[in-house]
Amino acid sequence: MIGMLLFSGCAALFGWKIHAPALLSQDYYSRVFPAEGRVALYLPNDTLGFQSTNKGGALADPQTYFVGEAMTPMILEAFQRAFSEFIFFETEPTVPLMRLYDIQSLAVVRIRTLKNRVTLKGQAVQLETETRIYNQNLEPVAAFESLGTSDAKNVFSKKGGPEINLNAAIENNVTALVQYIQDKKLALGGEA
Amino acid sequence: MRWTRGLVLSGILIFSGVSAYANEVMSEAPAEIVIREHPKTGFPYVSVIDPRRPREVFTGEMKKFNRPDYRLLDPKIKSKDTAYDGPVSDRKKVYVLAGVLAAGGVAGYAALPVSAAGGGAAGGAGAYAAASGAVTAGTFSTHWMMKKDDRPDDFTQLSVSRELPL
Repeated sequence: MIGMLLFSGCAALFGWKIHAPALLSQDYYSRVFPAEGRVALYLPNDTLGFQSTNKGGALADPQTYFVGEAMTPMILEAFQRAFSEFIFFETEPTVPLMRLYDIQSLAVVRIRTLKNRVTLKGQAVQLETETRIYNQNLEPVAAFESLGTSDAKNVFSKKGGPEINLNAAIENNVTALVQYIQDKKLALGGEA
Repeated sequence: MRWTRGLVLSGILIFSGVSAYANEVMSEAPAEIVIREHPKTGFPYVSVIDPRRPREVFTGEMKKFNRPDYRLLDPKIKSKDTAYDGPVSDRKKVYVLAGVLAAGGVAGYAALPVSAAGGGAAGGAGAYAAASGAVTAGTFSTHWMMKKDDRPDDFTQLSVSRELPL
């Protein structure tokens, strides 16, 4: 019993620490093509540092997913590819700044949750984000949620398996996100 | 091409900023345009920063890796078949420490860390269930049954966006 308690304690202290490669795959470049428009992106602090400890099953090992750390470079890369003029707001966007730099459209992306399901056969992870699009006056013009899922078998038995699975879920999410902005022509500041 | 585009855009933005320098609105929003290099790809992009309050955007290590190859997720593909050079979880620490504790503690639990550590990557997150035997087997099969559809031996990718109310 004591051994079990000790074991649980140390597992909770360490566990799996899953850092994704944080790069888009070549598939993204064959699926998403650049669209016209000057688009800005802002990521709130809770998104930048988002971590999930959802271990996906009562009997699975503890896991920590460093989602925000991986998503930040990936979404930047996704926007760089998807829009002809991309501006990243490191500071909080304001109407004067939007007007000063003639930015028609601002996307604010927030991570909502990372769902996880671990079984003996494999793992499914799903990243959910919420995006709000603002015009130059920082009035909301659209809001949408994006889901990116990656469900595979033998994930934990492969070197880099959980890392790649997380990367795939993030990539699927950002792909859906930028394609929605492109399809609805939100990059031009128009209404959805 | 990417550098040229970044430079042109930043030039436009900087000059538009200079022309509005005397504007009262401008004084309320001190900001600078800088060109940054993407930490993973090296591609340049334009950033708006507040020099008075710099913000740490990229957390964690920003090592450069090869682009991910999702064929790794195909159950028929083995790790050695793809050139994965990215980060790997340091879970080994758990089993080493647990092994030390178990060796000096309860003999019945020794099999758990030893099998997991000895098997390298094998076992994985399901190791608790696999090694702790009959006690947990029933619980785990209940959990497994919760999966609605038993998909064929393949990997599933989903990418979707849905409109939300404003």
